[in-house]
Amino acid sequence: MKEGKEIRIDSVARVEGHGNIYVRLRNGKVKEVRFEIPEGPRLFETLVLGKEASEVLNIVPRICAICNISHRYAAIRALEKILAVNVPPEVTLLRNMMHYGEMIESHSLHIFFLALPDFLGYPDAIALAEKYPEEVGIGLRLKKFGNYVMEAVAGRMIHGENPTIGGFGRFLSKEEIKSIRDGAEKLLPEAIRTTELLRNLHYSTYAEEGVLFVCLKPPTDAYGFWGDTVMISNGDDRTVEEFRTAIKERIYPHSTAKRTLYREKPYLVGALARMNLLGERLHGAAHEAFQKCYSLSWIRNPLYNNLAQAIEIVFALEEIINTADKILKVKRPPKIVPIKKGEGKGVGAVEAPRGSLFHYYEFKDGLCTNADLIIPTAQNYNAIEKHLTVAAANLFSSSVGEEKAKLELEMVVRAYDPCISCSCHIQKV
Amino acid sequence: MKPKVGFFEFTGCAGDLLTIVHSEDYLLEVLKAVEVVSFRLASSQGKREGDGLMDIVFIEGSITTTEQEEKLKELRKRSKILVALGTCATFGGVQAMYTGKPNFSKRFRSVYNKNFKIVEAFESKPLEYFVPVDYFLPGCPISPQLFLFNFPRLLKNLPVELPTYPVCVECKWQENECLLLKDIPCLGPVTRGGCLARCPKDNLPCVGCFGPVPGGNFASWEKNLLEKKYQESQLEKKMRFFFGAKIKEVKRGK
Repeated sequence: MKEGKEIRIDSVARVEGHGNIYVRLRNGKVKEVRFEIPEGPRLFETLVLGKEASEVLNIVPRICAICNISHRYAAIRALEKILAVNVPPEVTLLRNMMHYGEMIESHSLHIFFLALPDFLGYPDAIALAEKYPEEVGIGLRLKKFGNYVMEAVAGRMIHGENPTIGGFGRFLSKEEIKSIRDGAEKLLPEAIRTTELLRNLHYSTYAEEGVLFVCLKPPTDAYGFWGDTVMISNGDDRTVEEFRTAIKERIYPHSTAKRTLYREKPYLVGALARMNLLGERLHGAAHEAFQKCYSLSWIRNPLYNNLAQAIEIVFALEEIINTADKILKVKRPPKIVPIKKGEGKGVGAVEAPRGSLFHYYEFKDGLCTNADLIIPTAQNYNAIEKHLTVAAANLFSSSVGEEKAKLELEMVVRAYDPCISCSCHIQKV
Repeated sequence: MKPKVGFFEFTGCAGDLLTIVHSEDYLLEVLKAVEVVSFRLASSQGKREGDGLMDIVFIEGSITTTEQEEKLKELRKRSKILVALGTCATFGGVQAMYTGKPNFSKRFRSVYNKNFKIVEAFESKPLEYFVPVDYFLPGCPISPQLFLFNFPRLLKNLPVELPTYPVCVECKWQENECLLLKDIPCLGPVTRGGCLARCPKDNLPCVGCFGPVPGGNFASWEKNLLEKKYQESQLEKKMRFFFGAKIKEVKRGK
């Protein structure tokens, strides 16, 4: 490779938002690797200032269409802490159900439409569908079901307003719950097949490098997608409040997204982190799939995130069935707990499909006075650059050729399933 | 020859393009009927931005940087028909809620420091602020039904058709209980229909996400609520969430 060469991949495709990969080489050696985010800023934390708690909920899901439910759920958890609202268990069950729906929607979108075309050598799922109609069909059915759950519970598949502080505008009827349950039961074999399909793909090793893993610790000893404690793969457990202040947010000149480090180290959040930290807690078909698929490569190779997502789809479907059975035993739909005007501050955290999501708010006289939203892609940012740097060094010192190298680098970014429009809205006001 | 179509995205949450991606039963059929020149969210096919003239260009998101402004102008030159997709592209989106208030640079500096240089950013503006827009499909996000209804119309050179009535009409069709009668500040009377009164159906007030309905009687809506316990500033705050750049026109009763 020539002296002083620069390689750019502008607007990485099949990711949400705009991100560029920049690699600078000198005498064939990688000197600098950057993941740039030139996305237009939206300044979300300034948008919620002066708003009532219910109005904050109208605004923050709009940070991201793919994980709008996670944003809504994290905000609800923070706001209910601040306003001292306690909801009945059936409300939590139904919230979990919408959250499982989002996991299925987001993961199947990522696996089949954003990631799989790379592994099988196609530019997109439309081209992929010609050769692999059955596989793309499974993807479409899973995604449709995830959307159906989100629409049924949240009111719309994107930015539904039904989940509120204190409960739901409208609680679902038994018929609706049954129909969601039936859908999950029907799709479970296809989700298991998806784990098989992904298990048999070839995972290249260019990006392999150990990083810290971080996820929320579920309140019980089960696998799950929310909690008030953060688990870190070095053995640390931190409350969400401690963790929020422990991670350092930084601004870099080449990105509108902020980025975080834990103890000066990059860390990875998302399905792969959850599987590495909580995988042993799985039950049923999800546990079987985990046993079959898991290997030590998972602690080094970000490409396995797709397989981790596939196992989480199996988990989410099984949990929808369990949750539906519990909700069906509830006699009367719960009443919405009324909101009082509150003061105080609090962190609400959930696992978004692509990782731990923290919403922090301060309230005075019933209005929001400060906000801090820490989203998964900002947390993954340094890990993405680290894995890109390792991959670039391996790729450009081998003889794979520039086109292949570019594709491999894009695959690293895509494996993280970054949500770039999300990532530009994190800041302390 | 199949018509050439491009899907582009500026500042927003990707919810409108995602609504198209989420139209599972129709997605492959819709996309097979055209030559997709660019759909970066879904495909790495061909050149990232496509090149040459396109028959229909759909754009989601608002314009918040000078770079986007240039790109939008270039896309306009390359498109026969340009469609603004969603409330961000049509009205500026939630990020335009402070339109007309001179606090953008202060807000920007509260987020990013002075040395921050990657983008030259300004208060969020809708597409038509910079270029002529042929059609608008508002909604946060757009209604999948309205997109699937209008997509073939556009291919046949027919104009986009949208509901010209407020959310209230769709609410009445479903015989929902009126939330205004319970003194809840529902934006239904001044918001364009098309969502089938999704939020009132769940006993929740309309938040105005389809933007203002043409000829909406804002004055009457405001008067009604002012007589209850609400103040003008509270009502304007709610309208600003999605009416963004149109707020002044709406208040003047245009």
